[in-house]
Amino acid sequence: MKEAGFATCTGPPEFIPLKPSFSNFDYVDKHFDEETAIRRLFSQARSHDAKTLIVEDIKPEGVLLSENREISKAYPDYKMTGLKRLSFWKRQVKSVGQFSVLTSNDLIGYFIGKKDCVPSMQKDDWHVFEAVFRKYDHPHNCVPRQVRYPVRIANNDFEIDGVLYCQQNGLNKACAQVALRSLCSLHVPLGEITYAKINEIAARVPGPYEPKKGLTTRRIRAVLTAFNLGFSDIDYSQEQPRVRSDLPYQKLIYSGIESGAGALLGFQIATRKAEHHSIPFFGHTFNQDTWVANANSAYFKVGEKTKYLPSETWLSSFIGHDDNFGTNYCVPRLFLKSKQVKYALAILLPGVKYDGVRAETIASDYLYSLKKDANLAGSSSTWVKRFYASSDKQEVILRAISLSKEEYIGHLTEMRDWDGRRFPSSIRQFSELLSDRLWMVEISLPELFPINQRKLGEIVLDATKRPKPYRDYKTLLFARFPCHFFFTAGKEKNGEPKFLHIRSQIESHTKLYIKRERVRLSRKNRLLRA
Amino acid sequence: MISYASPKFAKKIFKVFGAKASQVKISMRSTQDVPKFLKKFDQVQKRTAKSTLQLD
Repeated sequence: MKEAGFATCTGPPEFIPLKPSFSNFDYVDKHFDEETAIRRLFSQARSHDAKTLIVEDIKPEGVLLSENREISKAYPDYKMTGLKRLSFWKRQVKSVGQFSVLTSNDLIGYFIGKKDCVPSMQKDDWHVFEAVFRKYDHPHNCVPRQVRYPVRIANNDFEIDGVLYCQQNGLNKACAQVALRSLCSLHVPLGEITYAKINEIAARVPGPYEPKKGLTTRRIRAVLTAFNLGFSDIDYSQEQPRVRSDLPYQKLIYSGIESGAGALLGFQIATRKAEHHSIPFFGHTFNQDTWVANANSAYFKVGEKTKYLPSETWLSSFIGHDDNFGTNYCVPRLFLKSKQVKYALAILLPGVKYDGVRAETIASDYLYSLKKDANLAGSSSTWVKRFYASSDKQEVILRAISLSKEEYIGHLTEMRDWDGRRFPSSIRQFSELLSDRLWMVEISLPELFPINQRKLGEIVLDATKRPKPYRDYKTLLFARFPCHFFFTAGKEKNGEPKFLHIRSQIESHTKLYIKRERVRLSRKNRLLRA
Repeated sequence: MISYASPKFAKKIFKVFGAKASQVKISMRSTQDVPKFLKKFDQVQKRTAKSTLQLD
């Protein structure tokens, strides 16, 4: 189905210079009835120093037409009373004649404003059908996966990197549907994600369904499953308070974000306690100077004898959209109190069968057990000795990343230790020994991790099989330390695991794996790397 | 993917790293912290699968 961004313009585009005395407030008041989320989009454009606004009236086609038909079925007196595409540009352009100088690099963002009118409900409101705006361009503003969304402006094709934002209209979509459309758009071409399809899938779940009231968690799960997206979720509203501290929502959300899959959070609104709002998250900020790193509260305690410092300790805010307020907001990691949070969901990348919370805890079990090995304990490596000193105090840092075996092999091929040592080119054959999807749990130490962004090694797990809640020794593939590799190689007669030890050519610390994907999704080829 | 428990595995390791691997015995820690944690997580998610919480 035709993407909303490709809708045909119905007349000549209007070019508006954004220098004073142009006022964002006046423009939104006059043309968009003071809509809060649209104010935010104009503010984001200004923060990127936008010079030109292009306004087009567009036809309801494809995904947009599908929505209008869906609303008309539910509300026979429905009519669409406005549909515009607004785009913001870094350069000054005054006419169509000058338009050819613009490239995708000049595009800051676009949004499609849609006005839905239902007289019987006394409703005639603008909302943002969809928008994509560039994120704040700072190295500590981390969005592991952005999509290159296609958009046609003044009959020219452009692309814009970001994460799709959508707003509810209180008719055929509420916060939950629009949050799902944002998250699904990280993995599925936009033309395939219509609200009609989301609501059709949700309606198949037994029980009365009114789209304007949002989705139950069962319906959310059904929608993700229908789009072939795996997930890991927790409904805290049914659980004892202890579950909130044993399985903090932040860990599950971070697990979805850091691997580039995305996450969804459902929480109670302070002023309307009976309602549960939901927002999508897809990025985080990182503060290398975070003080809490050395505080006891920073530990993740798996049990009495197992704790470690999770890498999200250095995370200040989650980055996400709030459909009520707009795009690319930073929500402080500890802002929402755990008792307000009712639901957390981490999306899993294709082929991955469990989340990063499980991966990290499983890795911690093997990590602390491998310390018993004589080769490691007697290692001549200074960095292994430092690992022992830190791990004796359980001050090891773990960071779980989900990646394909090709990505991991690429990481090993590029890997250089502090003295420039590398693996032989034969390391590429390692591919035959790996499952298609992996959890790589990186091992680092305080001071090595936050500022230097380096690590000692990693525990690599098979992500394609859900782990048993007991040690079956099938999840661990191998562990890499400076100078040492340990591979699992079956079980002894007494049930203990067998390991093969081999010397590693990498003898000190190496760079962390930093995921910064920009992907094109198309109907023909579901994922094209940009 | 070659099974790590198969005899082919050690040969492949030799090809990749150019060195022979030696078998080592390492007993896992006696603490059951992680298995208990995983069991608890599984139980919470089994209950979540039946959840009907409404998000607007």
